[in-house]
Amino acid sequence: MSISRREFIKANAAVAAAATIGASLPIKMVQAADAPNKIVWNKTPCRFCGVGCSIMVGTEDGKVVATKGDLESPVNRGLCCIKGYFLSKIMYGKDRLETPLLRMTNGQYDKEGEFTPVSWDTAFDIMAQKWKHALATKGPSSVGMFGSGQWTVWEATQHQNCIKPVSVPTISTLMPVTVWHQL
Amino acid sequence: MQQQYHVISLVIHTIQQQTQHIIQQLTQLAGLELHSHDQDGKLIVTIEGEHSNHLLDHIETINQYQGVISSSLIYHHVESI
Repeated sequence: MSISRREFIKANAAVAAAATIGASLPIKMVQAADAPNKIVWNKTPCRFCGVGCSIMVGTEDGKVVATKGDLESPVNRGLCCIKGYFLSKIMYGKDRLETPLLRMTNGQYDKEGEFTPVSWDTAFDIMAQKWKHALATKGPSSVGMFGSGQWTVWEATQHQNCIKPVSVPTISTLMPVTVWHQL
Repeated sequence: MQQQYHVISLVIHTIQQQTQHIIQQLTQLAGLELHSHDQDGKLIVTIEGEHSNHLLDHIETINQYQGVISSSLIYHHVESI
C-alpha cells in the first residue's frame, strides 16, 4: 500500500474523530483527508441493537472499507459502540449464513444430522409444519418469536395480529445497555 | 488469509492531571499516533494494524490506564492488501 494512501486513510480517521469533539487538527492532515478518492459514503442504521444508531458506511469498488458514526445524527452524534463496527466485517465473514440450513442425513431431516443447505420454500414449509404441530400438541407456551427494537410499525403490528392470539406473553431477555460517555 | 490493513481513530477522554502521563504511555503502543490533545484532556489518536485483534488489545490497554475516563471508537477502515 502506498504511503500516500495510508496517510489519506489515517487523516480521514483523525478528521472524523476531531469532528465529534470539535477539535482542530494540523492543516496538512485536513488536506490529506480531502485527497481525491473513490470512497462513496452512505448513511445507514446500525442493526446490532434496538437503538439503530446512524452510521456512515464508505464503499470503494462495491466493497465496504470504512465505517464511522454519522455526525448529523441527533441520536449518536458521530459516536458508535464497538458492536456496530463489526457489522461490515460480518458481512464478509467466511462463515456467514447465506441459505437456510437443516440438519439432514441422506436427504432426510435428522436431528443428529449435518447442517445441509435447503431452499427457502422448504425452510418455510418445515417451519409452518413444526409450528402447527407444537401448538397442537403442547399449547401456546411451546412457541415463541424473536422481535426487534428496529421493527417497523407494520412488522410490530403483524406480530400483534399473528402471534399474540396464539401465544403467551413473551419475556424479553435483558441486554446490556449501550452507553457512551458524553464527549 | 489475505493480509489486511486496519486503521481506527479514538477519542480518549482523560483526567487533566494524568493527561501527560497517559500520552507518554500511549506513544509506546505500536501503530499508535497522537494527533491532538486539548486542555479538557481529550486526545485524538489513530491506530494502525494488520488484524482487528491487535486494535482491540490496544483499546483494552488504553482503557486500563489510570486517568482514562473513556475511549470512544470513531472510525474504522479495513482493506485487503
